[in-house]
Amino acid sequence: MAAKFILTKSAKAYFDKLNKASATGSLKHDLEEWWLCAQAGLVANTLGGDPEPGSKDTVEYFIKSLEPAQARIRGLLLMRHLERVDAGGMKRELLESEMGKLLAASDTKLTDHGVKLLNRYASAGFELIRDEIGSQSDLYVFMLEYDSLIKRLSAGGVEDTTAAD
Amino acid sequence: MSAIKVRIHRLTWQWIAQIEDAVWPREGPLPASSKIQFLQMHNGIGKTTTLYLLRSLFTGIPPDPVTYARARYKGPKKEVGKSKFSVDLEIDGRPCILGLFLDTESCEHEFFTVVAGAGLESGWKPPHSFKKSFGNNPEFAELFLFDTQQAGAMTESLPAHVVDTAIREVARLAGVHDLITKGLDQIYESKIDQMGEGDGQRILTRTRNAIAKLEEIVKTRNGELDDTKKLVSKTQVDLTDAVKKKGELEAESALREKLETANERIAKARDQLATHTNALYHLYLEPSNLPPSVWSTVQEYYAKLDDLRIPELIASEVVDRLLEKGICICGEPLTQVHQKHLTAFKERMYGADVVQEIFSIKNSVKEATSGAGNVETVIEKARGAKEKLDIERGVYRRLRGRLTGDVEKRLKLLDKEIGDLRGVESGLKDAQKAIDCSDSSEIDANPQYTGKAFLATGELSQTASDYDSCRNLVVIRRGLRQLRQKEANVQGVARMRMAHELVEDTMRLAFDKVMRRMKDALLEEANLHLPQLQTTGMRIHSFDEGIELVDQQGVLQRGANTGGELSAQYSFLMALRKLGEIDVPIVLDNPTKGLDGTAANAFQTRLPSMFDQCLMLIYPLERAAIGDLVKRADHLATLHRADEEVSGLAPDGRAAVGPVVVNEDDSWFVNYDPPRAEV
Repeated sequence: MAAKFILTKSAKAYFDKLNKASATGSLKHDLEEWWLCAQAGLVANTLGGDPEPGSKDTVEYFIKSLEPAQARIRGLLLMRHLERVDAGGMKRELLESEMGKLLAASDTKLTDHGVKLLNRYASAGFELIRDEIGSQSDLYVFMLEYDSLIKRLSAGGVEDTTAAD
Repeated sequence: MSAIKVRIHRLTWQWIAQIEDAVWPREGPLPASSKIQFLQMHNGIGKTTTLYLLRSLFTGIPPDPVTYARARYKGPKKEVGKSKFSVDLEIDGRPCILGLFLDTESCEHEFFTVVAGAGLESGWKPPHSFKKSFGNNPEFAELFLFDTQQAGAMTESLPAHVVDTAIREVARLAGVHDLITKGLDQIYESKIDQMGEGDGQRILTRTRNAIAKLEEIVKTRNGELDDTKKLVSKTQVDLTDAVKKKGELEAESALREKLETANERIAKARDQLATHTNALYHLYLEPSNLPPSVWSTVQEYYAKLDDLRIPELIASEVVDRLLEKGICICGEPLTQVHQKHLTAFKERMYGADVVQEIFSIKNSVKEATSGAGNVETVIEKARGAKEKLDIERGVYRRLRGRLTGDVEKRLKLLDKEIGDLRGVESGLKDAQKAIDCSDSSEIDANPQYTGKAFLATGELSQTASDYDSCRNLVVIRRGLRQLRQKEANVQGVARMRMAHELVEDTMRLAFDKVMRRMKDALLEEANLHLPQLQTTGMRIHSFDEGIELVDQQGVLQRGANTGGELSAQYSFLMALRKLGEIDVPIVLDNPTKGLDGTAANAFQTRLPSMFDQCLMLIYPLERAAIGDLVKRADHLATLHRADEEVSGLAPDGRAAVGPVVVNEDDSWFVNYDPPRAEV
């Protein structure tokens, strides 16, 4: 059975609380919440650990709202991974071999390793959200804070806390 | 020459309100040249009590229970003596002291009078001219002993009986009025009595009994008419009050509508904010919308891979096909060595799916331009929506702060009350009309007005009991006149009866004409004063039904606001004072209460010049509103406790407890500033 995207238990609780209290709309799907976390982790280029026990498996495909962006999501993941293993050497054999480790002919077009890697980015991204944005009760405020966090991370403004790979 | 001249020389209090024993002015009577006097005291000392006790002394009417309660000593002393209040007057050049001993616990009183040469006498015995003007005439006295608070609280201007009484007094028509309404009949009756008995004694006795009975009915109907008029007046006051309250509540109700609108605008602003927020989060589902520094790095990376042709874009299936056929792409057969090379080469190659995916990734990354600008645009819109939402919430909060609860419920109750009051008013007016209607066609059309007074023949009954059910005074009086004619005929005094009626009719006509002229002159004079006291353009329309006011457009108004009411009454008083040539002091309690800046200024410049003596009872806060007048006053006095400083406290900062004293020091007067609990 193919690996699934996993929203960690803490992240699930965090977004449930936000959605319940918000008067300016809510995040509609677990996978969207997962992606906001993964994206933050990818921008920060920070890998987290494996999802904590009790975390929720979502699905093994990109849902409709993420479908148009899925190739670029994989692209971002692939770039981060290749940079990490190749360290800028651009060694053809190594890079081609690593591409093969992440991409596959599955629904997600990712190997189990690729999915697990994304889950680790999501895990790290959620840690950043929780630490930098904190508990929020309104989606509008959360999104402004998220935007601000992404911009800080893009500028390298948050300390790298990458877990052991 | 003045019709009556009165001047207040001195006031004396003993154990009244908070005053133990005080005399104003402290030494001797007030000089004849003194025109404007101020008596200042903070609330509770006895200002309003003084005014109401003066009213009793001017009219000879004992204090009412409220005045007794006010007058009861409430100061700090434990042992209290007998309460006494008196005023030293000069009436038509002669001194006279009028006073009251009061038992404020049992609400008992005893008037006393001191006149030159007679010493102290028990009872209320002022000179005749004073007695005739003020005696038992509270409406007239209250015009000069003026309670601003009471006048301002009136929702309707002075009623007809007060206006008419005042005009009769100043025009010296009160005696004529008495003669017309009572005196002539009494003279006629006594003449008839003097003629003694004659023939037809039985008819005469029966006729006289009928006359007496009808006179009794007239008296009863007059009493009922007075009561009904008072009830109509009170109902109208209640009605005006209820309508005013309803207006206020409707304004509040309008506020509710505004609140609903504000709520709708909040919901709309919140929807807009939610829409922009939703757009923002959907933009962040797309990596190409990340900041350019991130997304351009990704694009550059894949461009570099492209340049280096990483990965090789030959799928493993191509090698499989070559191996399967055993022929190279150049057409030569594959050797074992070639096959070994190709197999090793294939191990590093992906399947077609992966190759296709790598193509797909590269293309989608290269083609996706940065959407970071869209993120900024949406954030800008969301911030704008949030700002609008905050503004609308502020509007809502401000409106909400002005709202009180249960508005709808109270409006319904008020609607019912107004409906009930209108019903009562209408019923009362019908009842009043039944009694005082003088239009004969209307009387004929309403049999309930006349009861059994008319016989089947259309003539008036001569049987007294037939008038029991008759409500209408005109009909009863006609019956009475008919019976008196009969009485005169029986006695052979028809001519005298005719003469009596002629005199009565002529006097009534003359009286009405004089009253008309007085009212017209008063109206003209009062409307000269009124525009000086207010700026709304309000005028006095007529004095026929009391003071009737019209607004700038000439629309009849039922009463006005406090300032308007006071201005109208002051104007009436000024006109009365001028046309009546009466030198009566005016005593004003809280003179500026309810007057706005314009009216207060006009009051200062105009009112004192109209009176030879103007005594103002004020509390310290009021002083500032009438500063000009204070400067023009020739006597300033403050009633305060002996150990009290201008701060209103004793030197040690505690409440002062010494006896109340009269302080005539001007500097003390203008600096007195007790703690402000008195508004």
